[in-house]
Amino acid sequence: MLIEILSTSLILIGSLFLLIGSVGLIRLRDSYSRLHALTKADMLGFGFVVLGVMFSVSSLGDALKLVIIWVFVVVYSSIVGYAIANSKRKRDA
Amino acid sequence: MLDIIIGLLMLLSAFASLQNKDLLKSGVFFVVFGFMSGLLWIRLSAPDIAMVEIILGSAITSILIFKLSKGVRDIAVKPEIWRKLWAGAGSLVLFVFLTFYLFTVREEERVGGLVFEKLSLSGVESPVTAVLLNFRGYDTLLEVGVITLAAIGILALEPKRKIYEWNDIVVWRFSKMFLPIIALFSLYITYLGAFSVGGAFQGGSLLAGGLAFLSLSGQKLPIRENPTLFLAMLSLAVFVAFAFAYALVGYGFLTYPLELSTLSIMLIEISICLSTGLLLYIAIRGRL
Repeated sequence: MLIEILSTSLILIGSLFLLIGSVGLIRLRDSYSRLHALTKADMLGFGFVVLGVMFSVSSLGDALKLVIIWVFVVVYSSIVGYAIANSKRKRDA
Repeated sequence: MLDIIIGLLMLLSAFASLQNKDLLKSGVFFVVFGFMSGLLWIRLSAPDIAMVEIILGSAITSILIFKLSKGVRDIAVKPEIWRKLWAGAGSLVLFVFLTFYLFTVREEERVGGLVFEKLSLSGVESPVTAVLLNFRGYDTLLEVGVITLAAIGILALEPKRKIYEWNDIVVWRFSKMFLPIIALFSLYITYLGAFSVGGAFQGGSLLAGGLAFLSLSGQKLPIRENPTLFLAMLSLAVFVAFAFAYALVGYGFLTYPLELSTLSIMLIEISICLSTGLLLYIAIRGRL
């Protein structure tokens, strides 16, 4: 019961961060600040969601798989954020 | 409720993709459409198709669309009104027929029960793989043939285009670093297809994703051109070879003997995985 509450609230916190990131993507002015909002909030939100789901899986293997997924998403999202920002910088220069 | 929202979003993105004047935005909405249909497949508890749909529909297709739309400037694609009407009428007839079928078919007449009944004869434990490679192997053989032909067509046309590249040292290094991991994971997914969610096309499209990343950052595979072509055509050759070999021995075209069926299906699956990856890589890169 306690674990369920913990897991659900973690997933909710993660979804909140994802929502904030999406709002930032729509509302902010230029590409850099949009990217800033999106990458940070996404990474944190996704981390919370993974943490929340981790409490509700049964085996250790599944939890480890979730951690691997999280690492991959973090690495890829930072590469993509860098690449978009860099191509924007090159285009402006 | 969630299904209805996803379905509505899917319809909305399809409409936006069709109605948009800008080719790039149209492509973006098409990608959203692919992602939404992937989510819908998950809701229908068909994770095999969802995986392919999300990898191909929203990742590989988007690269192809953006690569092609880069050179094209302001071509107003306006289909005639009768063509729209024709397509709409066809879809409506199909929709009515399928709805009618869905509400009238009895539970025991569905094909799924038959598949589970005969599953032990197929040599694999996953029903999806059993249908794809054993019960309806003929369809899959023709599918492999179609993508091989498509890649040959692209190879014949494409070398005039410039390679679409992205000179960036970080992307360059990371794509190189991640390719082995992605290749390993795609083989794992392929192997998983024998008894769980996964399979050759899933693994192949995943491999194609890694290769697309490599190709986008302006590199090519560190193998020569002839071996690449050989590996890309491998699955068709292996599939046809197995089919004819068993036909000549006397089992019938694409009918595996029970003892060898697991081995043959696994070999065909691995070859399809490698070839699908390389064929999509050829399609994205435009040359070997």
